[in-house]
Amino acid sequence: MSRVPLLQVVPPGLAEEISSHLPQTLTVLLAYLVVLGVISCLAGNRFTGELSDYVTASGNLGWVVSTLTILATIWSGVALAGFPSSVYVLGGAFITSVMIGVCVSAPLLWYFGRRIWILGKEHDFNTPGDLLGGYYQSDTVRLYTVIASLFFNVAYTVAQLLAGGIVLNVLSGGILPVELGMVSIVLVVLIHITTTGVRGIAWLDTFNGLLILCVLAAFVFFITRDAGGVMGVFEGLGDQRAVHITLPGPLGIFSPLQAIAFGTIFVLGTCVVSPAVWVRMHALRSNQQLLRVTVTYLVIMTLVHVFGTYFIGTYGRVIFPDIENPDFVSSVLAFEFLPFVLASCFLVMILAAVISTADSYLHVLAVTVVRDLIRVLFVPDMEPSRELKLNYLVIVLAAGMGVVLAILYPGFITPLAVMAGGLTMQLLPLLFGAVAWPRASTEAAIIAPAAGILVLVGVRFNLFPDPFSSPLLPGLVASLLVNCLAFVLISYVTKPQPLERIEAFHGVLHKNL
Amino acid sequence: MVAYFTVVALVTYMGLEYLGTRPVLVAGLPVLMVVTRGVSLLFIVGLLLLAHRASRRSGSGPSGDLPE
Repeated sequence: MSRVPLLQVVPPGLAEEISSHLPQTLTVLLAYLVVLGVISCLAGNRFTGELSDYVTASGNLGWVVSTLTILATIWSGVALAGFPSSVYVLGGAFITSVMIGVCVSAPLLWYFGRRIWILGKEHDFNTPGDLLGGYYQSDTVRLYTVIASLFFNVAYTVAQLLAGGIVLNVLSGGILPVELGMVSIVLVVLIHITTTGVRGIAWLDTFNGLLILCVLAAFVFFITRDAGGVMGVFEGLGDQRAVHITLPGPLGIFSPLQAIAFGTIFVLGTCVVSPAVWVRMHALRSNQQLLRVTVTYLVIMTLVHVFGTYFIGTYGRVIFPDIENPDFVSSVLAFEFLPFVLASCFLVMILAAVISTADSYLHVLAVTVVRDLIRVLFVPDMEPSRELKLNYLVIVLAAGMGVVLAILYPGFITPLAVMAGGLTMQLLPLLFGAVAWPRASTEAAIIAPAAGILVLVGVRFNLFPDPFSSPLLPGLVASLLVNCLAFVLISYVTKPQPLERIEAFHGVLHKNL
Repeated sequence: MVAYFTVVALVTYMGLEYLGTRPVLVAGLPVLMVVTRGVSLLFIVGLLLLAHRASRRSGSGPSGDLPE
């Protein structure tokens, strides 16, 4: 099939260079797959085959594993290759903006995470729909969480499959077609998820997270050495230096306020209210571990972005000022400066990030669809063993659909992914109401997100102008603002939840915080 | 703690406005990245303060899990 995939994280031409060193590259790939297999076996031995173990690892994950699984889930393959390309185009302003978002998200993760964890333990909640649907006693609210989960997880899974297929194609020296690469990734991910549950996903994420950190550190070491020190990386920018290392950046789109707003909304949508991160909160062994998780998350993110992706994108600009596609900059730079085996490790690292994100998102997608849609609306008295089997079925169907979408509609994925982040953001006021604002009413929880989604869709399809024009996140600020305002106003003119429910949520939180 | 994070937000804005626009390197790094690291540090301090307050409020320190 002659098709040019739109999410190209590595240049297809690299396959020719790799084909001349194929044994080395395949050895690196095989080594990674062996480690993956060993982790699958180890986690499979601990898997009890029960639903709670499959969904939340029986709430028994430690803080190191939890931190790395959150990081590896957020670091998608597209992001790892795409962030340096964004630095290449938008300069340091982009990384500053993302880091401000990460900074804001850390205390919010701690704030909401503790509350999600406590309510989960008290009421046996496992998903966003359990918590929000339970508090607002509304199937419509539950349905919102399912829709958000479907859009978010499908969009990001398909993006990962596309990126992974291309990486496998290049790693195999062009032997493995992109489509077959995607199918291979899906098969590996399906076997891993269904035999190990979320524990296996978290263990693999831990390994993948460490691999990503080590390879990025080596990458930065080699380019800094080549530049003759840290200062050399930036001095090489020449005439471009002034605009590249300052706000508002080369394209002039990051004023201080825009940098803060863009980063905050971007990271909140993809991290704090992301269904996969939400479910990770329930898997934590203890509420008190969340502090360690959030501080470590912030420290590692700072190191990775300020010293990793920023250096790679900037030095890419120095060495290849006229690259044909900025998305290629990190992989081209890797094969220029890293020893061949290490450069192959960089591609395997992208594949690892792809697998980590795809397995987490497929797992959460199936869990939310089965628990919050099928069980609630169609089979309320479903046995846990049947729910587990249904999870397996949904995950296979979702993975198959992902491959079909990736092959047939690759061009829809990027706009869909931006929209998906905006959809999950609409759950934020509802979460705030359920854990921190007893005045929040069910009517507000039904109407306000719908208003927010209408604004988001309206701006995206140019039905009306965006009052907070942002070329990177059209409609997101306006939709969130409309949602929050409507949520507060409607809550004040309608009845709050009954006292016993407020006691069951806010009362429990008050006692345990 | 709301006051702390409000001050940090203001400091972030001022740092970006008055330092982040200067094409200067400090110890080899652009001043914009130094500001970014500083903001990150202030948020880490804020998180530690939050945890300290939470453990003080709960009496004899962190209790860990909910009672069964």
